[in-house]
Amino acid sequence: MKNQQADRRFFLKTAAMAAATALAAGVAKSASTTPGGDALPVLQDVEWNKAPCRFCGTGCHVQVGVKDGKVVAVTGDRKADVNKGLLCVKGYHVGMILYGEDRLTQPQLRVNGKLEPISWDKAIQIISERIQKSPEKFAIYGSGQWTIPEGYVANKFIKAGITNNMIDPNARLCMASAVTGYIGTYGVDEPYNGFSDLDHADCVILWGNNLSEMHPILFSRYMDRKIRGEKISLVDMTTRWTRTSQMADHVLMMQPQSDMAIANCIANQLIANKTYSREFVEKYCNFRGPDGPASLKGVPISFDEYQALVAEYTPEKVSKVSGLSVEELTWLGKLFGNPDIKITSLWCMGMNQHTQGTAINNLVHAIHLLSGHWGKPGDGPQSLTGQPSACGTVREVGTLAHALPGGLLVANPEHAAKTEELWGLPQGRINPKPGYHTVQMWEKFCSPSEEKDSIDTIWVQVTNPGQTLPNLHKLFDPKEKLKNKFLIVSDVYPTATTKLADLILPSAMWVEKNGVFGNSERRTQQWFKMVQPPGEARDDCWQTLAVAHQLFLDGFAGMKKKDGSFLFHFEDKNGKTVPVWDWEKYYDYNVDEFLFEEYRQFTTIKHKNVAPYQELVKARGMRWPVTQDKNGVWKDTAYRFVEGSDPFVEKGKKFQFYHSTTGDDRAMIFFRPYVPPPEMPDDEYPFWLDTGRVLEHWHSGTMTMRVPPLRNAMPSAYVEVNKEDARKLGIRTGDKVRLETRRGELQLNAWIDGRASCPPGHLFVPFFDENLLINQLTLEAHCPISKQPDYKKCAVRISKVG
Amino acid sequence: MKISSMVITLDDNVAEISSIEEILAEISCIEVGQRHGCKIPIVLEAEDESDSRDWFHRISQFPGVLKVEVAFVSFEDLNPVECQEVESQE
Repeated sequence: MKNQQADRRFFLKTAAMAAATALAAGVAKSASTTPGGDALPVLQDVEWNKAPCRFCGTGCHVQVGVKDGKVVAVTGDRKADVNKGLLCVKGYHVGMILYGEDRLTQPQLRVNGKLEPISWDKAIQIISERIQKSPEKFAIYGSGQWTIPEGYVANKFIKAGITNNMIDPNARLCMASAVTGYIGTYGVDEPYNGFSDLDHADCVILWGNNLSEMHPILFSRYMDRKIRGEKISLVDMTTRWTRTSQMADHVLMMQPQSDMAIANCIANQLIANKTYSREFVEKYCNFRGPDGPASLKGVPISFDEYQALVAEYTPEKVSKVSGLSVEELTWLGKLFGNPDIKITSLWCMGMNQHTQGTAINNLVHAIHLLSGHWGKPGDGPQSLTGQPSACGTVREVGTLAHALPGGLLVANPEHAAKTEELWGLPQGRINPKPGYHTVQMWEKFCSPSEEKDSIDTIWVQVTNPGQTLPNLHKLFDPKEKLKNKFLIVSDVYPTATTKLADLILPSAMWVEKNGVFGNSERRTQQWFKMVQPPGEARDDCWQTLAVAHQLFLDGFAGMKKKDGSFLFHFEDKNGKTVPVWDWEKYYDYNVDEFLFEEYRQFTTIKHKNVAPYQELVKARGMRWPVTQDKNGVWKDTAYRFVEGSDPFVEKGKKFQFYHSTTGDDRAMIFFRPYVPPPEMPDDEYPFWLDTGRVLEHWHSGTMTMRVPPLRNAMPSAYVEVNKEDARKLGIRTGDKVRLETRRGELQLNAWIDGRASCPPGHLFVPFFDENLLINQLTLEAHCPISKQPDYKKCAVRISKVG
Repeated sequence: MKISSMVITLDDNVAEISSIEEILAEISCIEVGQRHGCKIPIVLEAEDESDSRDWFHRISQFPGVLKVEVAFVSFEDLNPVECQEVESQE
């Protein structure tokens, strides 16, 4: 026994050192070193397999070591382009998220206020009956953490089966404005570029993005170049001093919402100084002005009209709105006016969680297009996502209330007809009326059942709206006292949402099931199930399929194709029906592959061609569009719309925006005016409130609060207070303070100039703590186009308790 | 015992890289590998997950350390007493 332990320890240490040494040697040579080497730690009885990390949208690949049916080790995957073998501190703990003590292991039904265990058969029957009672009042609330097959099943279940289009994801709360920004500008969603821009840029500009804590591996790619002495600089445009600011060459501390004025000011200077790229603009761009606040595509304007509109955004005027000095604004104008450098703009929640989210997205694309800083490696704008499959499952599969898979829309008759054809549906099955977006869905769920348009049953999968919705007192808490409301929650641990659930379904997570994710740079990533889920926990995908089949058996018309067969009818290669609803046989087949290959047919319609499932099995992710070359080799695409990289760009075009909203292969340079925030500090509520994440915890903390080292390192939420403000208010670190907004109040401890630092008049509270729900105070006001709420700015007051 | 390995990246301007290596080498639960430029691979043998986390933080705060990244983590429990006994026999 002792010798076995010694051997084991020796092996582990040797393996650990080999992994670190290989990385130090490889990374020391170059951050852009081709990842490679099959070498995995040699550990007795440990089987290794690949998977993307479960946390953010970077999509780092890990190798997961399994022994005796348990995850025992994790190492960064050296063959992965994204992370080249390295992991951040959250990735370090990713294996432990499976093993929290309070995993949900059995379906539970609330009876007379108490949760009682029930069988899966009964749970499925209850959901089926609930739907049949009022299908028009049923909705699914999903997630950017759904796998692609899970989201595809849920989307088809609602759009083809229930036909009320009542499905929307939590990604509405995190990246909907990026979607509308891309669609308005390029006519089609998702970044044209990828993370390799960080290996080529001369200057990286972060627009309200704390990259070092939120996307640490991407920050590492920047830092590696900086450390090697390459000429690369970092501009941190921010409303609060963070760890990213510490490493930045230029910190531009701006006022909330003033990013819009700053972007217009850069555009104004590019034109006034004649430093815009006339050639790029004349060949590849059109101009658009606003046509009311909710106009996605805007109205045509001339260059002269555009020039006149941005002319009022002088450095002097914008300095007053933004808090940046005239010199800083002039410097930014000159930076973009320099054609000899490559500029990468990155953003995430700071720009997306914004009541003018679409507008600011349009504007950042606009200054890159106007200046010609577009289309070269390291030279372009790119949004980042916070969830592992916000792009793959939400944006590509179309799990939004208005969308269909592959970038299609329910309201477009041609798209609906194509979908009906691919799904074998009778003509007219797809409902052209979009369902409710997230804020609306929860408003309707928190409205009396008697109201005609109310939602009475919501099935929540892989997310935690009881903690993450804005203004919880309005959008979630009223459920408790309303009659005839039924909340179904599929999750892995008890959460703020399960507290009000009527039916709880235990789910398998991460490597307890097969899966496919799509990361921030169009990279589709596949993995296989490696360990069994605990107790009776089962795949979310199966759960939806089982309910669909129960409805089919009960004669629910929507669950039948036009030939009368089951909506999710698949056949194996011998022509035998695959019983996707039968858990006992579920893993006799690869159900994910059947679903993915059906979904893949949609992706060729708008040039989003994802790779065949079996190609993804071999790869560490592939960036769509993925096409076959003349030798039959499947190749992914680094840069869309760019000749030589994108297979759909015609020869000789150089750049071709082939989904242009004007049909002439051009991108849109938008003018969007600066609009003040809907709520600003005043005499009654004199501070700004900003909310967000911290390094240790991922989103609502459901997973990371179950990892002891992470929970111990950051056990509870706090309010970050500026030192001078704290002095005036008589507040010291650790003091209990009360925060009040027009929507609610919360007591929590103060942290004066902690790891980050707010400027005077600003407060910051992280949202990971389910015992201190800061979203009881936030504002549900949202972008009129994307419907994404603003969690980053509302008015608040603070007082010391006692 | 929890075993993990990391890559420590030092600031180029650190005058005495070797002194940081020496400091690391003196820590009993850390084994220092061969440095490549400003990258030092190390193996950490911590008491438990919290101890791992503490070391990760402590090393990050060393003067001249720009960042610490993770290469490998084992979640297996190795009984420290038994390991120690065997070690002394060797």
